[in-house]
Amino acid sequence: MKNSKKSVNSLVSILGVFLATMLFGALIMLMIGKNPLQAYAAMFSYAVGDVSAITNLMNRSMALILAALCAAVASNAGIYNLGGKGQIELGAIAAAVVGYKLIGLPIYIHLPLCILAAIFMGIIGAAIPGYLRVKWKVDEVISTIMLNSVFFMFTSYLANYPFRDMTRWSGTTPPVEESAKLPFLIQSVELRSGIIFALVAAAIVYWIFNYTNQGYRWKMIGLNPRFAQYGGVNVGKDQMKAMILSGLLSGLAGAVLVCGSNYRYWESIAGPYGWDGVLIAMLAKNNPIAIIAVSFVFSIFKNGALGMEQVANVPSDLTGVLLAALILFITGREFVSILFRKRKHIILVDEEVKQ
Amino acid sequence: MKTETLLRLENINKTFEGGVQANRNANLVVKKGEIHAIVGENGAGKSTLMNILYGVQQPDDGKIFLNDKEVSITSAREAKKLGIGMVHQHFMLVPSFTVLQNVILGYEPKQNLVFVDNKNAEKKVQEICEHYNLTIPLHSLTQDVSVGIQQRIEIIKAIYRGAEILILDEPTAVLTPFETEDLFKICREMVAKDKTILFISHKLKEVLALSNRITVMRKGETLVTLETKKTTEPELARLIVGRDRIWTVGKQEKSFDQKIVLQTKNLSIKRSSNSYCVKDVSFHVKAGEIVGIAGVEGNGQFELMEALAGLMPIDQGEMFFNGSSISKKTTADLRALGIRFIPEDRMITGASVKASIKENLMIDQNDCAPFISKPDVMNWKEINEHSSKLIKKFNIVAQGPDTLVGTLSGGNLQKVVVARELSGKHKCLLVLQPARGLDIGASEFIYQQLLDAREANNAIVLVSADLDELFLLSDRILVIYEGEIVADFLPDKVTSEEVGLYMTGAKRTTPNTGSKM
Repeated sequence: MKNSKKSVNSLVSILGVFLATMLFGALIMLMIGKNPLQAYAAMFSYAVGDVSAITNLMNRSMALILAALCAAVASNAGIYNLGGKGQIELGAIAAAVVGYKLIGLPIYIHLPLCILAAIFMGIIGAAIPGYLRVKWKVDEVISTIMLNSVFFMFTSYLANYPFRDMTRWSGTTPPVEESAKLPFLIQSVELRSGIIFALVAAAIVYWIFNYTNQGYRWKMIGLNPRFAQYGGVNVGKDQMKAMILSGLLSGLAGAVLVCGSNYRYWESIAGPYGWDGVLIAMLAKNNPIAIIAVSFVFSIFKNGALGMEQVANVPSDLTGVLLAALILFITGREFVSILFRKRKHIILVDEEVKQ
Repeated sequence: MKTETLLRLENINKTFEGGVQANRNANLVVKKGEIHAIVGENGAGKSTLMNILYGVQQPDDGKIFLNDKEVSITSAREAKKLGIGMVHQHFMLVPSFTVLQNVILGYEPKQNLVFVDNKNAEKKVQEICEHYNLTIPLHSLTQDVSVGIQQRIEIIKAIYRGAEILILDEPTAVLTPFETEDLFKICREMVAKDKTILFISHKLKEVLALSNRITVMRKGETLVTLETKKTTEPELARLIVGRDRIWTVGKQEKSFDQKIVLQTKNLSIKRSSNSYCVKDVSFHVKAGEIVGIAGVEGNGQFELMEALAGLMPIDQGEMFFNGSSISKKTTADLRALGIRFIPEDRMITGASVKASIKENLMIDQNDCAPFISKPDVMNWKEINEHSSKLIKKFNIVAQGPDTLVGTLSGGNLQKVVVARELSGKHKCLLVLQPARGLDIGASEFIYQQLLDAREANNAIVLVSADLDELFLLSDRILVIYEGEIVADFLPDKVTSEEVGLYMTGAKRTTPNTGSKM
């Protein structure tokens, strides 16, 4: 119950940050002689104005949520997975290939196979740097980033040669079978149930973090690995498990991108999601509930940018400014809360032990 | 030696957050051109006083006079300007730089205001070396030279930056005997050329061999300043240790059953490829016995305890628990056997300061009933109750199980550690400096817990530099010096001065701990 209260607090403060960002954006628009009301109206109508806008919003949010969970699960356990992009690509191409190669299967077999294939590839992509780190102390920050390029080139090769759709330009696989697509939420606007996967994944991660043994150990390792080791926790093994779950989530992100909205793999399908996910996890401080909220805010700004440009003639670059302001405000939130917090106790400095 | 006063510290007081008083009306008079040694136990306030002099820490009150002029030293940069240099125990060198680059770092002579004038730099450093008769490979990479040379780099760096007073913090701790001789030669050379040296150490032989005068510190106070010629090793040992605390706790006489619980045989741990931090250590602890290990910090006791707790691999020898080997066991295995560890470093190893009390209490039992309900699901209700009980039982002053451990005072933090280690199954306790930095009340509480554990037939190893503590609690006292057990005493058959002599390496015997069983 204490955890849920914390989550409510963080949701409220994220809403506050969202409003502050809008206000800041409005000031800038006034300065460059645009009408902020008109621009924001356009932004919202493009982002959430009708069902098809909502479809786009959901599709962006589901990928962001899963990518952010991927980063959060790892860094919560004191190991960093910055390889979300490469792992999503791996997951996506696995889902796409299984999705178009197997024909004539019923959906309840075909779709799970696609998702499992994606998850499997995602896990491989994360387990490699995880193993290198745990076994040989190879810095995972560097190895995950470098593997992004390796995995991208690998999937790009697959999409250009063995699995290429010859009717298309290049770097694209053929469309997946109907039986490999996620069920509809709203059929008329092609809104499929990927967002449900993302929300359920967030709920499960939230549960793992707060209620399980594993979540407790991850938290302890993340806060102080030396203490965890002293307490008898097998730090390497638990960090490896965190990397596996992290890879599983990015594989799942790849699967929902293919089976839930794009229906095929194309080069760089993970786009900015991998890195935006890392950013969102940091902003949400690895809290899965906050990740959902930040991801939606992020998506609204990004999807509404076109509207602002077309209707209110505000350059779409302003979205970049808004996102930067969002980051500043979220980070600033902490600073403000530190300023206003009553100091109940003196934080002990370790000078006492050192003196 | 000249007699004019160069530096005077008057009534320096320093209290750290959390209430530890590191300096208490400390006074120090340093004469120009002398080697002035400052000796005392760990935590006696030597380093704090030197850090104040070097501007790293600020005193709460008190005055510093340099050449009879009051100065306020607000930063290390300010100290350097005033001609005060310090060589820390841990060197502050860039390993990938050449020796020369390290010496001039931050104070490079400039060419055209921008570029480093290497020629000029080399000339200047060369002059210093010649003046003080120092040889040093200026163009070697710092990572390739020995520790002794690295220390020499630090000394030259300080002189290059204009130091007139040089503070050496435990300079011989890292040196071989041969390198120590060299360092002493350098020191004598420097004072002959009008530099002044403050030499911090707890090795009495060295202090007596090198210094002109000695100031003894104990519990934050500067006890006395003596002429080196007029004092002796036993006198210093007695002054350093002192015995003025009166404890209300004490151990009950009891007879032991002869069961050996913990034992090491010829245990060795390497520090580097050719030096050992623990050398051929054999000892045993019986059920219900507290074996104290006395030693000055850095003589291998830390590594020995870490190895027994499964946190550090051993290189040679073997460890036994109830007769079976535990040399290869993990920390989790050892904890399951009932071996508990109260580490010295409670801010990093013993506790997680950003986690709550209940989370800290759970670290070793997070997968045990009754703290999990279904497999792998935490039973937070049970954990809350358990934590509240321990908070009450151990008198931990905190709002509740959710209080962050980092907000607790030192004593309460240590109580959390002790509560955890004593709440699970325990048969053997490894305890390092349990009362370090704690006030009398908290210390006594912790001692009582250890004595209760002794009554409950636990085998206890107590490592400490505090002889008071060791004499109060131990059934036997071993002394560790340079990684070896050099003595084995019964506390009522020996004086603390005697133990002090063994701790500082002045005396040693070959004890027969290993063969006595």
